Amino acid sequence: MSLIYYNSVDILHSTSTLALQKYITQCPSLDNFKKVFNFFAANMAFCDRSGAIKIPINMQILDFCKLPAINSVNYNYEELCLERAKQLFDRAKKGNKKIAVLYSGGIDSTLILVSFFKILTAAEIQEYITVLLSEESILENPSFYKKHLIGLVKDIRPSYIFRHLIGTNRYILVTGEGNDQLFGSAIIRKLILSKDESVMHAKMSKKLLVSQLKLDLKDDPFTERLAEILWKNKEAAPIEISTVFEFYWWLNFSCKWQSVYMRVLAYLDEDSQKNLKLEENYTAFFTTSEMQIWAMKNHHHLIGKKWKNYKQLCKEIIFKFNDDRDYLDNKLKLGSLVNIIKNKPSATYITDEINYYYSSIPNEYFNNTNDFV
Amino acid sequence: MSNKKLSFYGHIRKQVPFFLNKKTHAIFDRDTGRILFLTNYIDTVNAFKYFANTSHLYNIRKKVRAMPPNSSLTANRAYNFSLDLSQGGLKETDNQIIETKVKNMAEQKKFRILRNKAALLDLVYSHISSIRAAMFGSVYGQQIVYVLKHIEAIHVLRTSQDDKLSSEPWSFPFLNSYANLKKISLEQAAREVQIKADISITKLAENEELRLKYTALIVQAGTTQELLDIYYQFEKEFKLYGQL
Repeated sequence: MSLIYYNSVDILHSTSTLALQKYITQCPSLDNFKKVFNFFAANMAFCDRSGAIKIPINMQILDFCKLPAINSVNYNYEELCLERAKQLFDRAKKGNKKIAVLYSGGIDSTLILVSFFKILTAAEIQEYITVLLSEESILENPSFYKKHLIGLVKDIRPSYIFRHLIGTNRYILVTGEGNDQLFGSAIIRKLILSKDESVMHAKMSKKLLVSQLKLDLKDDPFTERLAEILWKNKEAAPIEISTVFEFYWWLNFSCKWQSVYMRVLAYLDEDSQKNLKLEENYTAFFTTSEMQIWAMKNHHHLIGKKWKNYKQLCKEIIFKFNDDRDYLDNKLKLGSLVNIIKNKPSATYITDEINYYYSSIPNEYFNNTNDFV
Repeated sequence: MSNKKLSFYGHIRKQVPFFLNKKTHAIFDRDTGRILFLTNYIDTVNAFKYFANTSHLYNIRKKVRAMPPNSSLTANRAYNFSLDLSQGGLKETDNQIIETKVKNMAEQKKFRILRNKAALLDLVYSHISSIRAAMFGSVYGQQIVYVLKHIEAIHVLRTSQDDKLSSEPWSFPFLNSYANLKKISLEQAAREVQIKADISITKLAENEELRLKYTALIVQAGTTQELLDIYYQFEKEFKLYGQL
C-alpha cells in the first residue's frame, strides 16, 4: 500500500500538535523527517525518485515521474516545447477536448502559451485553447495579455475554477509545473540572500550544506545527520554534481518532481477527483522524459552568472514571440500557484489508486525502515 | 479553568484588531444580562443569533470608554476583552457598564465557550475582509462603478451583431470612457471588463463559500477543543498551504 501524494502541512506541521504526536507515536522517525520541511517548504510531498533517500512514508513513484535513463536527445529546448505542444494538441483533438492552460503570467505558463500559439492556427486556438487566469496573471505580464491573449484566445476564464474543470470531462488541464525543477531551485535564492550570487558557482561541500541547514533548523541536533542524508542523494546522481547550483538543482529535480506534478490535484473538487485520469485529462507541460534528459545533459549550463539569468533560455524564447524587452531583462521568478490554492481544502493524502482522503493517514502507509530513524 | 483555554482566547483575540472608534457591537447573554463580547463585525452578531440566547446592542463605545480605569475592561485595551473569567463579568445598565461576579462554574463555562466562538468568528471575518478589501478599489463608490461597467459590458456583448450598437458616448458612459482611454473598440472594452468581472465574481464566490463554511463550523462547535481544531484548519488553509 502506498501513496502518490501527501500533504506535509496536515501531517507534519507543528500547528497540528495532537495529530503530529499521534503520527510520531505510530512512526517515530517522522520526528526527524519533519525537519526536511523546514529546509525545503512547509507544503510539499518530499520523495526522492532517484531512490537514494528512504523516507518514512510509503510512496509510489508514478511511471511517468520516474527518473528517465539518459539517452540522446536530438532536440533543443525550444523544439522540445513545440513538440510537447503538438503532442497535447493532437491528444485534445483526438479526444474532442479543449486544452485549459493554468496561466499565471510567469515564465513557465507564458512559454506554454507561446508554444501553442506558434504551432496552431488562429482558428485552432479559438477552438481548442482555454486560458485560466487571475487578476495577478494580467498584472504579471501585461504586454502578453494585451498583445496576444485578449485577441487570440476566445475562451478566457478565471483560474479559480481549475478545481472543477476536470469533472466536466471537456478539458485537459495543463500546468507549468516541472520547469522550475528543470532549471533550478528556489532554495538557491535563499542561499544567495544569505551570501551573494557568486556562491551559485562555488564548489559544493558538505560543510556548506551543514551551515545552510543550521540556518533553517536552528542548530537542531539532527542537522549533521540530515546533511548526510541529502548528500547521499548527490552521491547517487547519475551525472556529475559539483557546484552549489547543481547540488540544489539536483535535489529539487529528484526530490520534488512528483510533489509538484501532484500538488495542484490535491485541491480538486469531488467530481474532478472521480474523473481524474493522470496524463489523460491532467498533465504538467514540462515533464516529458526528453525535457528531463535535456536538463540532465545540460545541467552545467542551466544558469548564467547572475540569479537574474534564471530561466534565461525560456525568457529569450518568449522575447522572440512577444518582443517585450522589460520582461526579458527584468522578469524574476515569482511563486504564483499560491494565489489559486490558498483558502481551499486540500486532501491529506492520495493513494496509488487515486483515492482522496481528508482524514489521518493510517499506520500501514508508514514505515520505520528509512534514513530518518 | 486551565491556562490552555484562556490562552486560546488570548491567542485568537490578539490577531484581530478591535477599533473602539468604529462601529462597536455588544453581544449580551439574555439570561444574565451580561456582556459576552464586543465586536466590530455585524456578521459575528448575526452568527450569534443562531447559537445562543443573546441580544445585541449597537454602538456601545461611549459606555465602554466611561468605565473606570481599574476595571477589567478599559477603553484603551478594549480589544483585549480577556476578563478574569473566574471573577469578573460585565453588565450594562442604563448609564454605564458595571462589573459583576460570575455566579457559578456552569455560567463561567458557558461564557467561555461563547467568547471563544465569537473571537474565532471575528478572526475568520477579519481575514475574509482583508481578502475582499484587496479585491475592491478604495476610492469611494468604486465598487458601484465596477458593477455599472460590468452591466454595460453584458449589454454590449449580448447585443446581436445585426443590431447596430449605439456609439453615442452617453449610451455606455463607463465603457466608452474606458475604450477611448485605451484606444480600443467598445466591444473589446466590454470583453476586457467581462473577463475581469468573471475573475472577481469567482473569487468572491469562493470567498463567500469559505465564510459560510467556517461560520457553520464555529456555530456548531461544542467545545474549545473543537474550536481549536477549526482554528488549526483555518490557519492551514489561509497560510500554510501557501508555503510551497
